[in-house]
Amino acid sequence: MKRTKQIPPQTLDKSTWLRWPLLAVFALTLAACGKEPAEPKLLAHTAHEVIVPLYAALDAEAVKQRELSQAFCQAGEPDQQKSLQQQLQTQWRATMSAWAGVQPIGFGPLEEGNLRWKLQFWPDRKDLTRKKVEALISSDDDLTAERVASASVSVQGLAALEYLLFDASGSALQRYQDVEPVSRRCLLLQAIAARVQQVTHRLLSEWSGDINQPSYADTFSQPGADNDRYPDNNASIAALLDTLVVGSEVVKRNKLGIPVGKDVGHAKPYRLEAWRSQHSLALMQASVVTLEQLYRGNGGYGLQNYLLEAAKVDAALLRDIDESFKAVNAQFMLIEGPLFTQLKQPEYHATLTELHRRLNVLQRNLNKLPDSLGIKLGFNSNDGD
Amino acid sequence: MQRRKFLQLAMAGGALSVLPLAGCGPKVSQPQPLLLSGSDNGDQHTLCGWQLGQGERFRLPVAQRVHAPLMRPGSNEAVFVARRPGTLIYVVDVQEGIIKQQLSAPSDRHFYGHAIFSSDGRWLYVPENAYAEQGRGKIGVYDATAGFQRVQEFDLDGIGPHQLALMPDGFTLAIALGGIQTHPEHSRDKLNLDRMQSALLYLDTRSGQVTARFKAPHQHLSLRHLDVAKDGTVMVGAQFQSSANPDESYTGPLVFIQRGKHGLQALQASEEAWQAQQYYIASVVMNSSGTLAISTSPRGGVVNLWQVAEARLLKQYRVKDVAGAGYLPAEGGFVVSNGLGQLFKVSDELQLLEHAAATRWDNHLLVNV
Repeated sequence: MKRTKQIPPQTLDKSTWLRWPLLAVFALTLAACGKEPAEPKLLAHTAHEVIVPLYAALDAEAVKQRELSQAFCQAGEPDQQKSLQQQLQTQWRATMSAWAGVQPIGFGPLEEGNLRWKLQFWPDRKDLTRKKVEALISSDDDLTAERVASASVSVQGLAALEYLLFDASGSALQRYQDVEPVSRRCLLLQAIAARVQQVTHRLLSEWSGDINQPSYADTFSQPGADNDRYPDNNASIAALLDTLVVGSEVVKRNKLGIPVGKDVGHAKPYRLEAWRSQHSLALMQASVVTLEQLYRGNGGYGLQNYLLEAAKVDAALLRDIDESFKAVNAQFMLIEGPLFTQLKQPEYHATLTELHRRLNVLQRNLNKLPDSLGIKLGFNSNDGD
Repeated sequence: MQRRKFLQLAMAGGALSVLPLAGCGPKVSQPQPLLLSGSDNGDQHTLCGWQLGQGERFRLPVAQRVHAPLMRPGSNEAVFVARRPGTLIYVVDVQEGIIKQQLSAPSDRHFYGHAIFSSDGRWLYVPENAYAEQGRGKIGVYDATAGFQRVQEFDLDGIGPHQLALMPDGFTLAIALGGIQTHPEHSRDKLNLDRMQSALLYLDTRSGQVTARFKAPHQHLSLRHLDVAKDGTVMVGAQFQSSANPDESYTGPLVFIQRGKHGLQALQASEEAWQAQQYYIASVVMNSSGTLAISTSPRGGVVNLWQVAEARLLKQYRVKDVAGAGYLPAEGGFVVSNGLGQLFKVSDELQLLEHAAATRWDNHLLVNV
């Protein structure tokens, strides 16, 4: 059933409605037949053309990763095994980058199903990943996707796979070879890769929907009083703004600021995301690409269009946001990875600090959007009482 | 998933009958309960009375943001207490929908957003911050039969009394002592995280003495909200001060029960279920028989349904920005409210009841039946 289009509350004048009921009904009919309101267009485009494709890309990479991990574990010859491990490492980087692309999206089944930690246990300050992965391999448990699903989050997900594929000791080929009749390390690798893909498949199917369930994309893009997640347009737009504000903060602080530290002497390379694979810089960029797609609309009617044309937000703020995205991207071009080693190079510190400064400007500009739309991000969740 | 089931039902029904809007709700023979809550409309703080099935009964603009409402026994009067560092209590006639009286805190004191009446409705006990005395926690005693004159105070030998409740004996107060020192000149900054001492206190209102003190099970857990069942079981909800422990991620329990002389007993839930609550419980409410309870976690956007006797989690539902909670005795279920203006019924499933447009329901909800 199609819902009646919502009229923005500020256009409703109560006395007019009471005095001129027929006129009001007529006006409502006109409004419903008039040009498409901006909010549904923005929300539908964002959900279907930006977010769902990101989840589809993640699931496609996770499928390849699951298949390659099986091929690797079935390889007989050491040379073949070595070559397949390298391919699997490359595939892990692709999967992880696709994950970094959905990671900033702060609403949807990922949050509601509490699945974030199941795909990536991070930050991991005490290297629980190593301890728990090795403990599970040494145990007598069956190493299946189901066992992984019920295990500690530190052995699930992409960080545990990274340990098994990139750790100097944990990924050594002879450790995959020296157990008969079958390598438990390989069983676990396959089980985790299979579990990751179960989760990415679930996320994609919930976002895109199927015959049995309405899609989350529709839930998000069709707000209404009967919608148990998004009672009005502002609730959906707030979720989108929250993603931009929090997502940019996570990139700035967690992915860059904490590892870089205040000077080279205080750099913390082990706090980098994906330090074992030295893939940190690409992941930061992938998250910024998503933030920018959510803002610019990835070729369609995005938040930027909406803010300018429909919400009439101050054009100067939109120019500032536009420029701060460009400034961050320009600074990325000056950095050659891997951050894991660059963090400790004195000549690199200023470049990284400048990236941090530019991310901070971007974050602060995005943080002005909620106020400019009269939207509050969270109410009770910011209460503190 | 219940959400889908619900949406499917709603769509199949077509008429979306779950949404009786103000003035056009279904005719019911039994009057539906009146819900009381603070709410924000835009930047305006208000006191709101909302009748289920009927919609808004009153909405009164006020200067200070309130935290928790409560009814004065045997009357039509409700009081809404300003949250910290607020200094006002609003006395509302819920039939007339008017503010009858406004009380002010003594100088150098502010309220914490909670209060409780004696069972005869005469005495109002109000947690206060004596911030000029290093934040000592006090319970101010106000006489409702004498224009809410402040007649006495009890010293708690501790910091940050928050929610309190009257025990079934009729004279003991159960008080959640949050342990966190704040001062109005420092906004809402927490000044003593390194030495906070949160506890569940019992105070005898006849002597004004603290008769028992149960310490929080972790240095940085702040016990903040509670409810009492008819059998005297007390349920307490905590908030973990993660800013005091940036390098320690706490995934332990946040809800406890306390009975008799036994210490706090943690309710049982998986690490994941606790983690989903994001360190923070906003409300805890038990049903009238004390068999079931819910707790709300706005930061995690979850509602937990608890089986009290076995101290275990039955269900965890997702509700964004959820905080207010109450019990609907006629329905045998709970009701929760959120910052999006929604009201949900919580039982063995989650059901959207109503949506109040342009309304942010504030932290606590009271069901007046």
